[in-house]
Amino acid sequence: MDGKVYVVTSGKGGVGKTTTVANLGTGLAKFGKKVALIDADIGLRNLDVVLGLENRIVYDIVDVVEKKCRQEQALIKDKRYSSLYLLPAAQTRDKTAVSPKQMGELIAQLKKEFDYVIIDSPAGIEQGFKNAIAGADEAIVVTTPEVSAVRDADRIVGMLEAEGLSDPELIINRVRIDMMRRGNMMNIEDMVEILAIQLLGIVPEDERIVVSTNTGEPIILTESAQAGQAFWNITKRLEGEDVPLMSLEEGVVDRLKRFVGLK
Amino acid sequence: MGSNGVVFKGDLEGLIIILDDQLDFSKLIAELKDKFERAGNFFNDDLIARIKLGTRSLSITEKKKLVEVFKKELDFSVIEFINDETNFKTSQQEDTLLIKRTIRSGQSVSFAGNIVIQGDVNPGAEVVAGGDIIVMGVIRGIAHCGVNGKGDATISAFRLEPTQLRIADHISRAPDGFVNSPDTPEIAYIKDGKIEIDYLRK
Repeated sequence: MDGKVYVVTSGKGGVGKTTTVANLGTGLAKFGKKVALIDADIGLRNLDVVLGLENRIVYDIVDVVEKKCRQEQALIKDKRYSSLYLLPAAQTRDKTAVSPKQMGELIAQLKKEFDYVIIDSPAGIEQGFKNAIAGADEAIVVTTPEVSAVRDADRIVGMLEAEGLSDPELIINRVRIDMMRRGNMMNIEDMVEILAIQLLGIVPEDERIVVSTNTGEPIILTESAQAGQAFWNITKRLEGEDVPLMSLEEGVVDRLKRFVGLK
Repeated sequence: MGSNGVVFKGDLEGLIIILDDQLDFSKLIAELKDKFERAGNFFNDDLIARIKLGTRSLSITEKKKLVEVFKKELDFSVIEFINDETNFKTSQQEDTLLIKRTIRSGQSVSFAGNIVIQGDVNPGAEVVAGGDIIVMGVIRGIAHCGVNGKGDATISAFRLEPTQLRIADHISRAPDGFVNSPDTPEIAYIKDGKIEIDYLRK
């Protein structure tokens, strides 16, 4: 049976697409699944760095498409999980080096061999985005609690629907519950209401993400980190488990305080 | 004096000899010898000569010949050959490409001869040479020398901290984790079928 193909996309840059892909890929591999991660951000590749695999790249996705190497030669095995592979983007080329048709063929090939194929989409709505969604069966939209990010996410949801990816799921990243409580940040309900798509998970802001990105160790491997826990929960949901949303809600005391007008 | 291929000039630092870059090399040598002979003992001081070549690119043997003429005729020391900055004529011998800037992520330089970079090679950048690669700065990206199979090609840099080094058909990658390279120039080459790195000067 063919594997599932997800594209992780957002429209806006810097909301955490690549971090999400690295963590979900690692999580699914930890689950024992065979996973291929594809960096579709040709010319601005990052996924290899976030996974700590940059120094292993010899061939990339453009080499595969141009038939300069075989697909297996370009797939880099992760240094932690032997069932996790990365197909890196080319850095010295641009988005036009690959067409949506070629991407579709490549993905069709990969999903025969893997349980999951996760595509890291570039920011934007141009050809890079179109390449990234070409072979995908399902989409995950990442956003942050900012008006601009939600606006872009809405645009993307519309474009995904137009391309036949009609039920995208939402990850809200970099959530700061303290700011939401004070009303300084968009809250979850508002965002879900605007975007009107299934909520797949909420990932709290965590400064350890910065460390994890810089050292090439996905945060999901740090069990004590809240963000790692959140990605782990999302992984389980992808695997069909029913995991309740993390309790980021205010405690009973807070609610009482507000009730009596102290807040 | 004949008004052709060889012109003598002088300044405070010594003698400047301008060689016409269109004239055939053997004719130039002949004319140079002739001029020295006619000058007699005019140039009897221990002079320093700079030779302006225009756009002519000299091969090593041609340079040697020129220096020989100076040695033979007089006790000259040739201190430099000066070319015009642009439009080098390509010589038949292996050329060297000089790049005076940093190569950044996504940029790629490739050249059939040697490459000298006055700057850094950043992560995500790539330098590919048929011959040697010399980086007068830090290599943090990928350097590939001897790309057509020249196994004696080398890669050297003020600091060698590459993502990958490739020499001919050999590849080596940086160790995982923090790279702590010595603060001294290093050189990479193939020895016993493996890429080795050593201090450029011990």
